[in-house]
Amino acid sequence: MQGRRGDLLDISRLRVVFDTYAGQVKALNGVELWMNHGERLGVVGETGCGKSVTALSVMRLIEEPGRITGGSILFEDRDLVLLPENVLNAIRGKDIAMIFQEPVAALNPVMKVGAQIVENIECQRKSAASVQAVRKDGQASRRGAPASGNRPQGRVGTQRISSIQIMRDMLGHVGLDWQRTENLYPHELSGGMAQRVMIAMALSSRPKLLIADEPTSALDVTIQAQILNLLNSLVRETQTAVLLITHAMGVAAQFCDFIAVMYAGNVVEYGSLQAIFNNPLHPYTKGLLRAVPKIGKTDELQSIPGIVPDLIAPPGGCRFHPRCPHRRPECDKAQPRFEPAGGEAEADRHHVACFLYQRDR
Amino acid sequence: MKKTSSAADSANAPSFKRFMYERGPMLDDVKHSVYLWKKTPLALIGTVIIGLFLLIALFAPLLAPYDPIATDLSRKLEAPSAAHPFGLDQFGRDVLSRVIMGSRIEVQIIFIISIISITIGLVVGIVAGYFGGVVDEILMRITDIFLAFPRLVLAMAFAAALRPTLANAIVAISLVEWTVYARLARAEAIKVRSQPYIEAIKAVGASDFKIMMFHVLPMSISPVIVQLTMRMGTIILTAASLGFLGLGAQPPLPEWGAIVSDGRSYLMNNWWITAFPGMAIAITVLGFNLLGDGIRDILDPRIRR
Amino acid sequence: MQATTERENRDILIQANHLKKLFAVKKNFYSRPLYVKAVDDCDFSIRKNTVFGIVGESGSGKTTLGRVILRLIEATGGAVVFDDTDLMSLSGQELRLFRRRMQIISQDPYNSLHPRKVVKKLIGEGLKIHFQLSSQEIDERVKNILTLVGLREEHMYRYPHEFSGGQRQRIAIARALVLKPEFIVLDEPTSALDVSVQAIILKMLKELKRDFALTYMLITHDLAVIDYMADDVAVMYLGQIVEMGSKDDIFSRTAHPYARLLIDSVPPPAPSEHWSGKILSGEIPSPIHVPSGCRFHPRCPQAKDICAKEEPVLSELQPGHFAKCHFPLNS
Repeated sequence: MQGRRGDLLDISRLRVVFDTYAGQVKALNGVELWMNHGERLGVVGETGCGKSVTALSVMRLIEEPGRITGGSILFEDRDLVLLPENVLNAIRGKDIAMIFQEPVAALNPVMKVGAQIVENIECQRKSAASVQAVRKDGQASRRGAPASGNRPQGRVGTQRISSIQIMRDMLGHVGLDWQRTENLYPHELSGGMAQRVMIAMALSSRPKLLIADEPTSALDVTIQAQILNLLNSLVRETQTAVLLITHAMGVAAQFCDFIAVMYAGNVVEYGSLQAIFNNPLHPYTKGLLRAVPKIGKTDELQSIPGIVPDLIAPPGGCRFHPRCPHRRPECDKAQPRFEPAGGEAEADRHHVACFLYQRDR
Repeated sequence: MKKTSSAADSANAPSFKRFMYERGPMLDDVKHSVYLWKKTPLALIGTVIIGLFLLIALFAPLLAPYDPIATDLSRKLEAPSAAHPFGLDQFGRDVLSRVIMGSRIEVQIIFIISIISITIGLVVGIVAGYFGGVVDEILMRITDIFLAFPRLVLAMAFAAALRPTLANAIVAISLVEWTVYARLARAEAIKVRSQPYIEAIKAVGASDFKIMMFHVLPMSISPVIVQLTMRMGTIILTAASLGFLGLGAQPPLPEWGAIVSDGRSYLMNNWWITAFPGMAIAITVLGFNLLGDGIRDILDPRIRR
Repeated sequence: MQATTERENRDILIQANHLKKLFAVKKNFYSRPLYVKAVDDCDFSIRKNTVFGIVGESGSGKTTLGRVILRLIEATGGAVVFDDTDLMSLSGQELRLFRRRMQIISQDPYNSLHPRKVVKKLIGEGLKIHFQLSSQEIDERVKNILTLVGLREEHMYRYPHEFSGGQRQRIAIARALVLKPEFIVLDEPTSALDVSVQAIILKMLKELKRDFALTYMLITHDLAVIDYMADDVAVMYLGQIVEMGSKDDIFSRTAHPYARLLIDSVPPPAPSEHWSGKILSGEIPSPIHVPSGCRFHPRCPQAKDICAKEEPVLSELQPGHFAKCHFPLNS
């Protein structure tokens, strides 16, 4: 059993399948990635690579017909795969929060925005209060009636008002005018505004990890810049680590410290931003980088021949081998191990799953 | 993906094989529908019932043991027996034979009403939905006018104005029935007309008529067909009601509703005259309802894919 | 871009003058209609065998412009001249036949092909309308065009849902090409596709343009794609063209503050390049109640008093480079 690689999150050999009537979709085939507190990891890949499934697995939100069939997801020192639902509920939304691609769809369409945020705040306060009450009772019984506890109604009253105040502060914090926004319904918000509301709610509990699944893909370029900027400053403030799922290499390059490249259910390469962009090792990573258009780029775009494999009957061995220009005989026999790439700094954490770089034992 | 012969082979193959190859994906579609149909119990039961109904109607003259209009007053109101399982009515006619021959009339009624109402409904609905604006408003107001007529009242008005015959009853029902399909077709046409593939075909230079006929119509037709199957039961009941009231089929035509009406006065002691055609109506309507439910389930895209 | 010599005149395929499209919006039956100024007084020309890029965000009107050019949406005002023919003057039948020369490839590969028709019918449809061909000849042409876009003969008999997004775009391209058009509007042709598939499609579009002497109008929000494909560019904001010029003009000598902020907002896919981080604040205003004077003034970092009062004119800063601003950058 290898030592802990990331002190916040360590996903090891994660396997997820979906049982559909067309067959079993082997969505995740042994995913490996990790992060430390406060870091930003970008998971990049194309359609069907499994990046969203990975994110949902961390939140244990995979439902029928999907299920986790193997591996571990260590969050600090607990394996999320093994935890029961009630413990997970305490973690979701508090220690791990998530924002999605379509923020308007994630909000309750018949509740005003302000009311929804207040509801969120009060939920959190209740669960925090219940923990506190247990502690306070213990103290009170030793010292007599607690000073602030003789007006229970009053306390509830002041709590309600201050929840609204917190909500207004939050909206202001994410750059929205609370006077205008708190009375709007979700469908009246623009994409950018709705995403700000989601970020506000997600970060309100100061989570240790924020999972962002394509948070800006549905937004205009200038709004995307605003949101990324906002996210940048807020997570610094709350010291939240960010797991950013995206297909946009530009977003990953500007926001993240580390990158995990996924293809057809595996992380094929992992490393620091510098390592991945300046020294890509896996043939897929190289192909991907050469295919991305860039303002000012003078070389011709290169494409990757072939198409993404069918995950019901994926290719044997390395799933990329049918499209790989460096294919070798061993590539269809076994899956390559996910190993450190030699010859680079420890801090780069450069790992790759490819027979071209396997160190013979 | 099953193995198919290579394209080159099929291009040179005898024409039937080539025909089948070209229709490959369409056949797959049909095969898939059949597969789903087999898995849907409602559709199966409904199909069986309706299948029996249609077979009986088809072979009615061969199946009916006696002449349905031959009277024998000496044997009137005989109870069901081995020779006459459904008994005899007040004119000595064999009820079984009348019910069997009546199925033919029911089939004719359904067929004609369906053709007329679907044709009018689709034309009005698709034109209204596709063009929108003023055309839509006018057509929909016309539809509203027709929809406002209660079917039976309209039929009675027809009977009062013209002679009460089966043909007039059919016309009366069709005149109200089409409105249901017009609204459905219009709703579908509105959904379809804003789809990118319609814009794409316009860009290629297709005329409005072509687009409505060959692109909008195929997409709008399934809910209409499903609705038709579901309404078939109602249509039969309405025709039977008209027959019951004497406004539809006239004696001695053995239309089921008319037979039920015949037996009204004899219900207490000679229940068989009303009971058997009544059961026939009930079972047939049930069959259509089950079939309609089943078809709706089959066409539901979530189950399909 | 305004032709000044005979030679340049002959080179222009599309000339658009004062194009305007307003959509009426009514709150209820009795209220007076309000107008969405989707396209407001756009003038430009597209030279033969070039790619004319239109860049903008939501509400810029670029999608509407693409359709107005082809008369898929009727313009409220203005004219489009396609190679000496005034498009607005064509009757229904004339327009339908004229469409052979100008095609469109739209954004959504999943909905731009009729779901109940096989590929052969989808592509053959246009051929039936515009050419008198036997069914064998139609089959031949369909086969050839499919090969040209990288698909195979057996794909002719399949339904759209059996193909991936990239393949569907190829089918859409084949459908457009088989008519031998001169001009194709590409409306976000690769926005819904993966990066590697996008690369294939863009390269293919470039080759096809070269091989068949096509002219493109490329509508997109992606500036990197514009850099890769376009020769001339127009930047749109709230229905107006705010800057227009060659690609170099736009990227290296950016004149309009909005265009500058737009380019700066794009996160470069390279860690070494530091994102300049200048952010455009605020949201796009409603296209019904557009700001007075210069439409960009509420969000413009260098707005002065005159910007709220007087609408700037699209003026030529250098030959072929236009900007609609009282205080263009680099002037």
